[in-house]
Amino acid sequence: MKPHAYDEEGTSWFLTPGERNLLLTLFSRPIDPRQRARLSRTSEALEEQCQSDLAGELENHRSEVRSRLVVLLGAASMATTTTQTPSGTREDSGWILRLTPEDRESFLQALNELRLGAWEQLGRPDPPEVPADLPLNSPNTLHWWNLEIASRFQGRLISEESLE
Amino acid sequence: MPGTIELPTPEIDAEIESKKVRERDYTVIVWDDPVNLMPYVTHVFQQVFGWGREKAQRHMLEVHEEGRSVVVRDSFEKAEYYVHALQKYSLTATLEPAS
Repeated sequence: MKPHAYDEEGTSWFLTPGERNLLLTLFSRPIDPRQRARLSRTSEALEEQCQSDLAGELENHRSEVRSRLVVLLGAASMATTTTQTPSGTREDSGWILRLTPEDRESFLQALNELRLGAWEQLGRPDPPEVPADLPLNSPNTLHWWNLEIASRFQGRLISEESLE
Repeated sequence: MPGTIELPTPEIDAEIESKKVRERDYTVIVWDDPVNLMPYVTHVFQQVFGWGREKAQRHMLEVHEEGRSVVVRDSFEKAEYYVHALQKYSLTATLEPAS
């Protein structure tokens, strides 16, 4: 995933076919259950009055953001980019994903949701680092992989912003 | 039973309590967690509050080093709005009655 073009409406990103398929798969899966967010740590009155509204709003928001990203990824257009390498010119086929600033925020939120969902499935490890002795057949491998891959995409989106 | 009138349960106490909750000022606190990445938290502060990078980083570091940062003090409605906005980004944010 790399920036392809900028204009006043946002940024176009070049995705390899593997990256697009991966993101479509990740955002099409059911959302991992999450521990509910608290509205207040000290006021029971606040929790009682407002918590159900917050929980419902967050759940709807998460679903809407994912659906929006699946639509955007589905609407990506095929493209070929040319890259100069030390050994000559290389052509890569892939997809162009256009993201408005609002879409980019949705993308970041959905990636973070994936990270936190995986982290909670792993039992909230602190620090959240892949254990050196993780067996390949561990049931946690997929969660660690989700955590890592979502972090990488998130890092790309944020580092692009700092270059703007 | 003939001659007995069943009165509805008064809801006045709950309404007064709700009004009290909403009339005071609140602080929005962002709490440290081991999972949200530091550049991400900085980015969220910039987006949600419109802060420059320097101020956003200062608050992000406060969360990281002190365990929490007070990011807003305002009315109930505004504080609630900011907590919802921060929680949409999956930050650990709460609103607490201002002391």
